[in-house]
Amino acid sequence: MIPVRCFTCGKVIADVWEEYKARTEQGEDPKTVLDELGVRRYCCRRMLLTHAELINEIVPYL
Amino acid sequence: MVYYCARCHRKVEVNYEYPGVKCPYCGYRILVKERPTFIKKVKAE
Amino acid sequence: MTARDRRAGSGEEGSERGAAMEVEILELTDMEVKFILRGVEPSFANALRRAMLTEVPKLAIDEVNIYENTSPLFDEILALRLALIPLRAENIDEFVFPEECECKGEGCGFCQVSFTLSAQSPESVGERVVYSDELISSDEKVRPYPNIPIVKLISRETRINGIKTISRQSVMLEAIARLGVGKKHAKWQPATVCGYKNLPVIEIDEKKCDLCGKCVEECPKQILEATTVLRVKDEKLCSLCKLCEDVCDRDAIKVSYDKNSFIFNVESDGSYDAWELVLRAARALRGKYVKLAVVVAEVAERTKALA
Repeated sequence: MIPVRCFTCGKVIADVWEEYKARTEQGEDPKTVLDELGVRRYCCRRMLLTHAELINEIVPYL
Repeated sequence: MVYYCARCHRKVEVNYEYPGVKCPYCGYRILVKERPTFIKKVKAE
Repeated sequence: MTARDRRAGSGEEGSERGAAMEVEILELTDMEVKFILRGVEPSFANALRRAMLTEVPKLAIDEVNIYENTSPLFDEILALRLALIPLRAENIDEFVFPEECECKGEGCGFCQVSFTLSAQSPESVGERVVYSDELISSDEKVRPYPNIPIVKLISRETRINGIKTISRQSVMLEAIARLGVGKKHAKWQPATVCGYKNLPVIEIDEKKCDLCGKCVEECPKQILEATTVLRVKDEKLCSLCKLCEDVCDRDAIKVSYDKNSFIFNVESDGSYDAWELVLRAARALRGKYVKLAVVVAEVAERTKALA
């Protein structure tokens, strides 16, 4: 699961994660998506840019 | 304390007189402790 | 007698800066505000910044009672995720700190709000994300920040005793929100970004400048412009790096800053509008000053009585 807030500055970033993911998967450039979503600082941008969604991989071992 | 087997999901009573634990139905050695039924209070921080 | 002593000693007529304090708003949206504060001491600007971070109370989830949790996340992780959700309360002034409440920390409608969350994964194989909107508040004036994914619940096929079944995951919990300040925990901090810099002052000596254009190229913020004269487009964007000074061999440009003017940049986390946050910080600060004045007056009275 995406962290609720940016580790560094505390801005809420979880609410834009799904839109970011959907749009980048469709081939849009992450840069333009992040700019349009209002994620300006590089601390917040790396939160979305480098996130790996691992929750589905844990599930078989529950 | 109730355990269940991680492979066959059957409830297992652990016999402490024997060394090691094992599911008596399928022989699997990984047992999982069941979540207790009480309400758990967690400090959110 | 230094200037500082004179100001401190002579009270009102000496506070020439106090009368000249000035606020100019540059940008204002619900979440952000950018303004210039002129004519104040650096210590006051810093006090205001710190007040915005730690003195403005807000509601945040503090305790979670978990009835059931078969989700992929641990109870503690779930609780932390809930705690970090900003809560917006229209009636924030009606709440009191749990330590100061009449119920003595037992918990009542004045010092806490409870949220319930109950969700289950789909009946067939699949998954479902639980959002912060699904938290049901006991006080309809307190609303969580929308659209934050809290947890993903997954239904999958498992074999139990050789029989195929769908195992579903569920979460059932009650979260209790309390009033707090940012000193205690970052979840009670209403401002995320809150900083200031001095107002840059760029002086250009037109007699010395030969319009070589080196400084225009060197400036990383590209705020200089050389046409018939060297001009500053927007000195507020200057980062005081002084690269233009270094590159100028005629000493025509000088970058400094105004000691008593500050460009503030404040971003709210969503629990208040940004302007309201600044206002509340200023009020909190005033409250502290008033308290200090009362204490000082009391001490003065006592020492007088002793003498």
